[in-house]
Amino acid sequence: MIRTLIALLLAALPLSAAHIPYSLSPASGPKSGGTTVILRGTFSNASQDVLFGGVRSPSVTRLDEHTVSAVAPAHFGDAVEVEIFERAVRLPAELTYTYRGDAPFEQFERLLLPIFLPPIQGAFGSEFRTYLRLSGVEMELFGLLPGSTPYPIGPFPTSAPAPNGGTPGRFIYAPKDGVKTLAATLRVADTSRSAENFGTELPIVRASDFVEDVLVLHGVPTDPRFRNTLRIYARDEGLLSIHIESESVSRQVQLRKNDLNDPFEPAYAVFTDFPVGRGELRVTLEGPSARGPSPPIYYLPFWGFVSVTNNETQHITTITRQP
Amino acid sequence: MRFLFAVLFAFAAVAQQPDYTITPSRGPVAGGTEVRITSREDLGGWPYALIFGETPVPAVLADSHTLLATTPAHLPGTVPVTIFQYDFGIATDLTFTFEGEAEEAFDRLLLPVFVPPIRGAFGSEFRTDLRISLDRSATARVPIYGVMDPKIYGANVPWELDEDPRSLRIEEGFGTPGRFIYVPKGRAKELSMNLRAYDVSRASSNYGTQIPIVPSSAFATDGYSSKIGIIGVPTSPPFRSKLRIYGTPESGAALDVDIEMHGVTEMRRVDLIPTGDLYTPGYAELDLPDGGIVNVWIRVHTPPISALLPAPDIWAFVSVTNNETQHITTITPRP
Repeated sequence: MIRTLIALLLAALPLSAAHIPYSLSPASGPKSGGTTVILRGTFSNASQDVLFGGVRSPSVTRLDEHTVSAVAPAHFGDAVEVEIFERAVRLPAELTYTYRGDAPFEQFERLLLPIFLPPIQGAFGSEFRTYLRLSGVEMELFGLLPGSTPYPIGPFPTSAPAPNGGTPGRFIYAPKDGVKTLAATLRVADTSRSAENFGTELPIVRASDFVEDVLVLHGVPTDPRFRNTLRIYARDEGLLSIHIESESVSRQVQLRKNDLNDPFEPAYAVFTDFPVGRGELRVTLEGPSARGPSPPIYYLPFWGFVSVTNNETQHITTITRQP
Repeated sequence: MRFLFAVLFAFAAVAQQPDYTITPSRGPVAGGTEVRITSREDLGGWPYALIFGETPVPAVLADSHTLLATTPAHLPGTVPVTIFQYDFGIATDLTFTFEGEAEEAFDRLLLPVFVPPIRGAFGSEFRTDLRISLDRSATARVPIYGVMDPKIYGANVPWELDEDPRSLRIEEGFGTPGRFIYVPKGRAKELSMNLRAYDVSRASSNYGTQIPIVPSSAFATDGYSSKIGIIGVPTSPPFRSKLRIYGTPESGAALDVDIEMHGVTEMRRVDLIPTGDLYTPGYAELDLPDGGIVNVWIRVHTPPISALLPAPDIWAFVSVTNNETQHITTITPRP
C-alpha cells in the first residue's frame, strides 16, 4: 500500500511540475523598460527567449526549472503579450505585461519620414508611391506598423509596408544602440513613369536635424512650369512664420496634429502659395523662439523642406537645409 | 677711421634688423595664441588689425612700436601676416604657422559632387550649384575654407560670410569630383547650404537633384570595422548606377564592396588612395552590374600602402541616371 502510494506520488511529481501555470511578476512596469520580470512555469534546460509585445528581452536568465527572469525591453505599447520560446518553440504561456507611464523617448532615436503614404493618384495619370527599405542589426522599429506594433528588421534588407493612410509624415523610433547600424532608403516615385526615372530620394531626418529658430531653404524656383510645396513638421503643435525673399510680409502657418498623444504623428503644415515669375527665391522659416521675447516663451523644434514638381514630367526635386 | 667703422657697423646693424618681428610665430589651428608684433618704425595711433593669411583679427597698440593680437582659428599651414592700418595693408615678410589637425578646430563637410560644367550624353550638360547663407542667428562672421577656387585665389583662402555678404553661390565647382570644405567647429549650424546637380539642357522638364552635403558625423568612423550599406539600388536598363566612395584625405585603404543581387553576393575591391590635400577626398567609383535591385555593402579591408596607416573615414552613395532622360536619383546610406 505504502509502496503504491509512493509510486503514485513519484509518478505525479513530473506531472505536477508540467502543470504549474505560467505567471509573471511584476505584471507591469515603465515603458522605458528595465524591469526584471520573474516568469514562473516549467522550463527545460534549453535557453529561453522572451518577447514583450514582439520585442526581445535584452536579458533572460533561467534560474531553475520553474523560474526564469527576463528584463522588460523599452516599448511604446500599453498591455502587451509576453511570449516565451524554447529552441524556437513557443511555450503555451498566455501572459500579459502592462507598460505604464510616458513614451520611452529616451531609449529611442526619433526619425522623421517626411513622406510615407499609400499610393496617391496625381495629375496626368501619375501614381506616386513611397518606398522604404531598411536593414541593420536585429532590432525592432516602432511607428511603421499600426498602433505600437514593432517592426523587426535585420541584416537582410526588407521593404516596409506602406501605411493605410494618415498624414504625409511619420515619426519612427529606432533603439539608440542600433540606429548606427541602420541603412535605410526612402524614395518617392511616379510608377507611371518608372521607365523614365527612378524617383526621388527623400531625407530621413534625425531629431538633431530639427531647428528651433531659423531654417533657410535656398533656390526655390518660381517658374510656372513647376509647382512648389513647402512641408513643415514638428513634434508638437505650434505657430511658425514663413518669409519669402521677395515679399515684405511674413506668413503664419499653424502646425497641427490629429491626435496630440500619438508619438508617431508629426504636427504638420503645408504651404503652397508661392509667387510666380520672381526667379529663384530664398524661403526662411522662423520658429517662435526666433523673434519672440528673450528668453523665448517656448521652443518648437521643427524641420521643413520644399518639393519642386515639374507640372508635365511630374519629376520631383527636394530642397532641404543642409548639412 | 674708428669712427668710419663705427658708422659702417651701425649701418649694417640697421640694415640687418628686420622691420617687423612676431612672437611667437607658431600656434594651434584653434587660434587663441596671443602674438606680439614689434616694429622698427613708430606705428602711430591708427586703428589696427592683423591679417593671418586672409583672416583678419583686431590688434591693439601696446606702445608705439608694439601690436598685440590673438590668432584666429585657421587651417594648418604657414600664412603671411599683414598689418592692416586704418584702410590699407602693410606687407611685413612675417609668417605664422598654424599647427595641428584641421579637425581640432574645424568641421569638415563633403560636397560629393562639385564639378565644372560637364557635357554628357544626348546633349546634356550637367552643372552643380552650391548655395550657402549665413543665418540670422550667427553671432559673428563665418570663414568657409575650400569654396574659393585654389587655381584662382590660392590655397587656404576662406570665403567669409558676414553682414555683407550674407550669402554665397558657386555655379561652377572645382571638385574632383568631390571636395571637402571646412567651417569653424560648431558653426556649421549657423549656415544654410544647398547643393544641386542639374542638366541645363533639360531645365524645363526637371529642376535637378539635390546632392547631400555630408558632415563628418555621417562618415563611417570605425576604422577597419567600418561598414556602409546602400540598399535598393536599381541596376537595370535604362538606368546606369554608379557607386561613389569617399575617404578622408589623410589615409587610404582597400575596400571590399559586396554587391548582393537575388541572394547572390559578388565581391569587388577598390582602393582609396590618400590625397594629402585637405580639400581633396580619397575617391573611388564603381559601375554596378545590371540585373535588378541590388544591395551594396562597403567594408574597409586593408590599407593599400602600409598597415601603419589608420583606416580612412568613409562615406558613399549611388547615383542612378536614366540613360535617356539623364535624370539622376541619389541613393544614400540613411539616416
